[in-house]
Formats: sequence, structure tokens, C-alpha cells
Amino acid sequence: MKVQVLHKTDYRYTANVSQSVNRLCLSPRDTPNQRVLEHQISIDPSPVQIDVIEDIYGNKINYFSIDEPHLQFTVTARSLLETADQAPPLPLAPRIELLKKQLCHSITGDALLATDCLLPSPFAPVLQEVDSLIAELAEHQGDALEFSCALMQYIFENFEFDSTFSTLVTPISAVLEARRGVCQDFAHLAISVLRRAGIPARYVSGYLETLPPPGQMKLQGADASHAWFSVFIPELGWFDFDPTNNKRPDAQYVTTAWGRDYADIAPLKGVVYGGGTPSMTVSVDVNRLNTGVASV
Amino acid sequence: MTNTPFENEESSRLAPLTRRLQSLAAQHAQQHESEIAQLLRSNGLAYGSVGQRRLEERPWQLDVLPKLIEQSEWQQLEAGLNQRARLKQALLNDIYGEQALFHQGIMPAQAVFAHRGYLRAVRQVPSAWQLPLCNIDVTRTRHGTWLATGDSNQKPGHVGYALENRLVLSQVLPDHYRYGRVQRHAAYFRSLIATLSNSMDIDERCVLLGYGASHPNHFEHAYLAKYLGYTLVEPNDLTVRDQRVWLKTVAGLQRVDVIFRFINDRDTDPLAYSGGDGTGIPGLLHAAIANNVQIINPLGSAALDNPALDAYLAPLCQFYLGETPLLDSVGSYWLGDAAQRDAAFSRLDALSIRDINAAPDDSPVSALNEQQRSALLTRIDATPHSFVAVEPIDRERVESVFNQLPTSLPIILRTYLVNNGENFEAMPGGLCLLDDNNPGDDQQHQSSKDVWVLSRQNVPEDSLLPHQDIPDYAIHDGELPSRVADNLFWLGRNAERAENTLRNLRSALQLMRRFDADEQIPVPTSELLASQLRATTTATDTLPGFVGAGAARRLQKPDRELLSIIFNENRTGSLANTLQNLQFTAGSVRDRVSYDLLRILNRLDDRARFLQQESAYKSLTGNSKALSQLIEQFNQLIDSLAALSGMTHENFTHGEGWQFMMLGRRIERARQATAVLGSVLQNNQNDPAVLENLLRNFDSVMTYRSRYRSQLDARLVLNLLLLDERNPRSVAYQLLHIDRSIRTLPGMRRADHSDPLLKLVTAVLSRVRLAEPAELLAGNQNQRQSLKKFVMIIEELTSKLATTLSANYLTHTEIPTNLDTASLLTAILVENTDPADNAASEPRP
Repeated sequence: MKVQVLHKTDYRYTANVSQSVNRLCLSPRDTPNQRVLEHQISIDPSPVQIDVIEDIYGNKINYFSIDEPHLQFTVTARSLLETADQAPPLPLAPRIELLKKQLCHSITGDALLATDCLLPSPFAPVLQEVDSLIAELAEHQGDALEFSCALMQYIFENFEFDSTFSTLVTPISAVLEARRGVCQDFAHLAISVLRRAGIPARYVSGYLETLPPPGQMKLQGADASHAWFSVFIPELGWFDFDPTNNKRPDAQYVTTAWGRDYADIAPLKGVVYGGGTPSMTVSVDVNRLNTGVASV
Repeated sequence: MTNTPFENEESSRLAPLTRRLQSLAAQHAQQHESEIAQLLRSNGLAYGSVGQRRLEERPWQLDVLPKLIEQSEWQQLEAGLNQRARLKQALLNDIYGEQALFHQGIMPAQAVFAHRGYLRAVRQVPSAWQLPLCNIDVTRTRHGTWLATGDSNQKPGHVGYALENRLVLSQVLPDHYRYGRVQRHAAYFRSLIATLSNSMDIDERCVLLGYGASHPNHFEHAYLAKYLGYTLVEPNDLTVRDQRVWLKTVAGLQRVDVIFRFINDRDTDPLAYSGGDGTGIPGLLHAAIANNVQIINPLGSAALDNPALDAYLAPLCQFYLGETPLLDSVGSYWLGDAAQRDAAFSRLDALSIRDINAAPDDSPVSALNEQQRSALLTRIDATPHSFVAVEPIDRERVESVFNQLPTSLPIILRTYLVNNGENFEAMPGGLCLLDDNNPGDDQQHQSSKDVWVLSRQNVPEDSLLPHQDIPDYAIHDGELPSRVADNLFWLGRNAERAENTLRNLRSALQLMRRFDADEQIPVPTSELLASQLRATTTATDTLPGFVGAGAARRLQKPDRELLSIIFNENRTGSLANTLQNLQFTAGSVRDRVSYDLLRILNRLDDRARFLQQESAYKSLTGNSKALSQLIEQFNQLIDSLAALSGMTHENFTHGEGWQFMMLGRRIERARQATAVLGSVLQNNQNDPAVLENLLRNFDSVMTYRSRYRSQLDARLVLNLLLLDERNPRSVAYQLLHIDRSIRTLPGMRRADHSDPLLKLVTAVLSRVRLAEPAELLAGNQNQRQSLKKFVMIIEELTSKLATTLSANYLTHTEIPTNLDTASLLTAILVENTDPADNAASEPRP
């Protein structure tokens, strides 16, 4: 189906910013399950030049600086995409021990990059503390994809979604302890568990279309950016899982970027000179274009 | 051993030189040690940071005994170093390029990826980056084998000390040095300069990037910058615009083409490296990737310091160079590999464990207690890829003499290689560090040796660069960083402030001593002393003091307040505080200060040492011994400040930097003079003694006498000290010269009178020129409204002048802040989590 995404970030400062230097990761990418039809980023005040480069994961990154004094700064990303209706089916995957052996000998292409996703990263460290969680999933430890599915379900059932609980920097151990968090936390937690178990896992950022309850109007700006995880199986590629909703991403999901964890693909990283205290608002709208009956 | 015949024979002089040095050390250690200490200090290479604490807390120590290496041994070592450097160059190209080493299974990718120096973004660089410099730490075992123990490829850390050690020791032991036919360092530095300048065209600019004055290695960076002739900058002096790097100068932004950096990868660009403290130059990596700036060594070279690479030394050597290793590294096992881990664990007690992302700690596993050991094993279990196990090294110990005590310590040799375009060239010997541990990246080392590689033939005289003192501030116009201008401005202000503070305090103490001797006039009630004490408070801006609330009580018993104004280093405006600020601002521009000036600053610092002994001065009133002592100390400090003033006036190129320093001086003097005149004349204009004391404070007694030949008259005093444009101590003189200085500043030559700075200086100068002494002084004896008002207006305009100057030229010095990604995310969540929404919609973000 066709999906339109509007992602608006607005900064206001209490004092003039003399210069700001920014790195944006807000451009959705083509994947086997989605095609970008249109994409546009507008920035106000407008920079002299925007450089678009691809990072090592193939994500599109925008670099720019605003060199005139300003009190307000707005970034608007508009995208139109075609998404595949269903998530690809899960094939049979190798057993985890076998997977580890295969990866040891991976020396090219995606598999080489995937070995990086077995190592700890700033937001998804590899910890012994997740061993008990892995033990609880003992019966699913045969097939690596089966394990990933079970992990997704386990997090969905045993962790409470709580938007007030977490800031981004909540350490995995605190999420484990409190058994609550938000989508970023669940994705990072799952990635930590998978890396500890020996399965390469990465972090995926994107959007999720939300539907209003029957009979109600959809609220503007009520959608949100979203995050989930993806695991790698040699020769088969990457498979996505959303532990927040216990769902394999489908037509309602839009993928923006992927990396080892949030730090690699933060939507907006910036450094400002001056500015006093910044305040920020974000609004996201995800709308399907042919308003038919959802096929979910 | 003077007059040694310098035979030309090709024989080893190692043994005879060793004997001579040993006997020398035994006999004259003390003399040489003090000579070394003095030279190190006068060259400005004190080892420590410029902070609020004493500057010389951790002086760099140089052993009088050099480490001797014979030519043949050095050549062998050099071949090994050269090979290791070529290997690092090949590795840099490959890990950020094709990654053939992974594709062909030479070593596992995780061993490279697990090191935090590996910069993932650099994979995008189309052409591989060069490795201009390579720095290798080596040590020698008891059996005489050299081993590589570590690498520091981001920057040639401590290379300034290698240079310094050589300059000092060749001066202290000139005969030994010549006799030993010591190979020179000159070639290395020449190649270094050639490499840096090869990276740019003739009109391009290279800067030396350090951390700034508060970093322990600041003096080294300043020393090198001065020696190599590059502008020393801090991250905040640079900015990236349009993918290019610019230096923020008083004349606006100037393009930078080459950065010789002494800061670590992680501190270079807060946008590229998350997890830092936000300092750095945002966008630098992007500019480097766009090939708009050369960074030496390139970003990402930290990955070459990864100790895990040594576990694959032989296969890597074979793969890239087709050679077997000439220089072995410490035996290493990478614990990310199961076979190596098993091998290491089978004899763990004999080994030590290194976290590849932490400073090396080579204490053996056997030395750990049960708890430490199990904690270590837990960490290895979680992240085996981040650990190596290394074999112990039986390090050779070398004779040293410190504090006249012979001792023997294990050594690390830090070697420096430079890629001259065709091959790597090593500085003969390098720097010898004495320690029980491996040198960490920025770890502070106190003890070092010069390293003498002894030739078999005579070595030609080859001085590094002509060792001449550069004229101060002799830099091209338009290259004065705003931060430096700011520091020079404050150097001027602080020097002036210190001088005035001293003059006022000296006057006060002199009066106390005088009146004390004559017991007829009790000190506290003397109006003359009170006038001077009030002037002191006003001049030093240490209210309330002798002016504000509680002044009457303090005038009765002035000791405590005076001691506080002299000694209390935490009190703004006190003598101790002002001198500290002066040394701090001077330290911050150390790369731009001549050796002569450095000596004066050192002397000033020595003479200010009495300020640390407040306890020696318990009371002042009636204590003529203490008063005399302090007055003598003040005289000495005033002499030093006069030397500083003379030196800065006569020996500096009168360029932009000098103008800013003089502006600082003049603005400060104008402010103080106005304040003191106001304070004294408002209270007392008819007492000849007060007027004479006022003139003395302005150093204008003789001028007054020769000019007016009359009784002391307040109007004439005011005329001389306020309005006389020829009296260098008068307010008018300061304003006149401020006006002239401002007209020479960048962008001013063409400016009309609409410029706010020119307008201000014209306004204040006109006020002073139009003033009538008689009118100012007229009116009620105790309410000199007009003088008071006038003083207030002049003070306000002067302070506005300083602020405007700073806003126009000096405030490109804002500190960057990271738009916190955490707050960003929280905001997203808060924005989108209206409870109603959550309940309504099934999927959750």
C-alpha cells in the first residue's frame, strides 16, 4: 500500500544560536519490502548547502550547518512509500551453534558486516545479566529465527510499555530490572540478548501507522517514530521483529535506517553554539493514501 | 674531559663514553641536575597544566645519563620499526578500504571491529588515507632483544619532549655529546615539516591542534607550535562551514588546509563520535571525508593502536609485505578466537590481560586476588573480543640518577617515524621514558632520558632549525585567533592591574610604617592613610573593603583586610588572585611568547612565591619588620612587572596581538586611574600630603614639580592626572592611545565614525578633553557631585568600550553544546503519548 510520512522536528532557543551543525538520518530507504516514491527534506532557516552521503549501512545521511543567527529551527521530512503487504515468511534457519560456526568463517559482504552486530555497541552492550532470560527461552534454542520470534513474544508478554519510565539512555540492566520501557528499550534489550546468544542483531528505526478506534477521527501528529530489531542468518539475510507489538513488520511499517544501535542512526544529531536552553517538539503523521479497509 | 681529541677512527665509543658518563654522574650530579632543571624551565617546557594551581607542580625530569645505543644495534631496530610502520600504513589502507585481510581470512574482522578506535564512517573515504606519522613504543629485554610494546598512531605524543631533552642535554654535556658522535634529530623534524607542507600549497594554512591551556601537555604543544612555526589552536578556535575548516581570527574566518593534531580521535568531532562531552569541531570528519582538509594523522588511525593486531603480526607481515617480522611484539593472544583463548587460559597465571579499549595494565593475572580475578573472567566471558592476553616481558633496567641518587629503572623507548613520501624515517633514538608501567596515551611521565645513538663516524653539524628566538607575535596579519587575542587582551589588563594593585598596597604599607615610627600620630586616625586605603579598595575593586559597609571599622583596624587583599588567592581583585590570572593568561599564549619574556614571567612567578606564606605575616600595624619585608617584596614584583611592560613594549612586533595587549593595558589603566582620582579627590582635595601621595601613586611627582613649580593644588593635580595627554599615566593619555590602537584593528582602516567602537572612544575622549578641573572640583566640600558624576560616566564608557571590543573581536569563543539526543527522544515520547491515544490505538510506539 502507499504510505505518506510527515516528520516534523522543531527547536526553539532562549538565546540566539550563532551556528548549528547537524546530521540528519530521516530519509527512508529502499528495502525488499518498501520502495521510496518521493522524499523531501526542508529545513528552516535554510542552510547554504546540504550534503547527502551514505553511511556504511547504506543509510542516507544529511549533513548541513546553519551559519546565520537563529532562535528557531525546523526540519520537516516528507516521504511517500509503497510498502509490501506482508512480512516475508520465516524460513527454516540453522541452529544457533551452527550459525556461530558459519559466522566465524564469514569473510565477505553482508555476513562480514553482520559479525560487527555480534559485538557490543554503546546502547546494546553484551551482558551476563541476560543469561537468565536466555535460559527461560531454552526450549526455543534450536532454530535461530524461532529463538528470535520467541524472544519478541517474551518481551511483549513480560515487559510493560511505559512511556514515562524511560529516557533513551536507560541502561539495559535497568530495563531488565523494572520490566518496562519503550520501543527503543525493547529493541536494545532484544539486541543485547541476541548478541549474547550468538545471533547477529541490529537496530531498525522507522515509523508505524496507528489506527484510531472505530468511529473516531485520526489525530494529527499522533503517530510516532518507532524502532525494532533485525537478525541475520547467513545466506538468507535479515529478518525484522517488533517486540513492542509482538509483530513482524508489515505494510504498516516504514523503515528509515538501520545500524548497530540507536547511536548510529539517531534521527537528528546537532551541535549548537549559543542558544541558551533549547526546547523541542516533534510530530509524526503516518497516513495511507488509498484509504481502503486495512488488510491487517 | 674538555679538550678531548676527536679522532676520526671508526671504533665504538660506547664503552669509553659509558665510563665517562658514570664517573661524571658520580661526581657532578648535583650541578648538572640543577643546570638541567634551569634549562628546562627557561625553555618553557614545564610539565603541567596551566590551571589555578601552581604551574610547576610536576616538572618534566630529565636524567643526566642518556640512554646509549650503538649504531649497529640501532640500525637493526630501525629496520624493524620501519617495517612495523609500513605494516601499519598497509593496515590503515586496508581496514578502511577493501578489507582484503578479512576477505582472505588473514585475521577475523571482529578483532578490528571490537577496538573503539575503529571508525566506521571512514569506510566511505574513496581513496585510502596516508599514515604520515607512526609512533611505536619499544622496550629491551634482559637478553638484549627489542620488542614492540605499544603503538600511538593518532599523534606523536611527547615528541616535543624528545626535542627539548636533546637541546638541553647537548648543552649540559657538550663534550660528551660531541665525543659520542650522537646522531641528530634534525632530519626527522625537517621531514616532518616537509610532510606537513607537502600536504598543502604555498598559500595554504597549517595549524597545530591541541587541547588548550588546561591540558597537561599544553606546554609541549606550545613549544612545538613555536618551534615548527604553526599557529597553535584549540578545538574551539576552529569551525566547519560548507565542508571546510576555518580558523576564527580577529579578522574573521580564515581557511585551514592542514591540521597537525595532538588530540585524540574521540575528541575531534562530536557529530562523528557519540559519547564524548560535546567538545571538538562538529563536522570535522565530514570535511575530512570531503577531502577539504588534511588531518595528520588522519581520523581513524586510533584503530592501528589495537593490541589485538599483534596476535596476528606474522601473518599480517606476510600478507601485506611478504616479510617475516623483524621486530617482534610482545607475545599476544586475542581472546575472541577460541583456539587462542584456550591456549591463553591454559597458562593464564603466567600472562597479563589487557582490555584493548583501556590503558594497558600489565600486572600479571597471578597478582590478582580472588575477587579481581573472577570479575576479570566475567568481563572476558561477556566480551572476549575486547581482550588480549600478553606474555610477561623481562625488561632491561637502565642506570639513572635522580636527586643525586643512582637508581636502575626499566625503560620504554618511544620512537617517532615520519613518512617522507617514499619511506618511513625514524628519529634516531626517540624518547626514553622511565617507569614501571607502560606509557598510556596521555599518562603523565615525570622521568625521561635523552637517547643517544652513537655513530661510528663523525656526524656533521646539523642543528634542527636555526635555533633563534622568534619575535613575539610575528605572525601574518589575519591569523590571530580570537581566543589568543582575548588572552592577550587580558594579559595586558592583568599586568596593569597587578602593577596598580602593588603600587597602592605599597603606598598603604609605607604610610603605616612611616606613621608607626612617629608615635605622635596614631595610624588608624590618619586621614592620609585612610585616603590611601580607600584608593586601594577602589583600585582593586574589592568592595566593601575600606569604602563600603563596615569601612569605618576596617579603617580603624586595617590589618585583616589588607592581608586579605594581599594573600587571599580566592578573592577577586586581590594581589595573589591577580598575579595568578596574569600567569594563567600568559600560559595560554605561551606559544607566542619569546624566551626572554618567558624568563621574566618565570622570575615574576618566583618572586610571587611569598604569597603562599600568609602565615608568616600575622599583623601589620606596629610590625615594622613585616611591613618592610612586604614592601621589599612588592618592590621586586614591581621591578618584574616593569620588565614585562618594557619587554612587551620594545620587543614585540606591533601587530594585531600587541594592539590587543596594549588595549587591555590602557583600558585597565584608564579605569583604575579614574576610580582612584575620584575616590581620593572626592574625600580630600586640600591636604597636600594626600595630593602628594596621589601623585606618587601615579608616578607623577617629578612631572608635577617640573611642570608647575608650585604648591600642590588639586586643580593642577587633576589636570596632570586626568587631562594631560602627554603624561603617560593620565586618563587622557590612555584614551588617546586606545583611540589610536582601535583604528589599527582589522576592518577599521576603512571604517567611518558610525563604528560603535570608534563612537565610544570618541565620546569618552571628548568628555575628558572638555572637562574643566575647577568645575569638577567646585561645590560643597563633601559632596562633589560633578566629579562623582564625571567619574561614573568615564567608568561606564570605559567598561562599555571593553565589552564592545570583546563583542566585535573576541567572542568567537562560544562553547558548543550537544543537542542532547536523550532529551530529543524523551520529547518525542511525551509529545506522542497522550493517554487517550494510547488506549485508542492498538500498536504502541
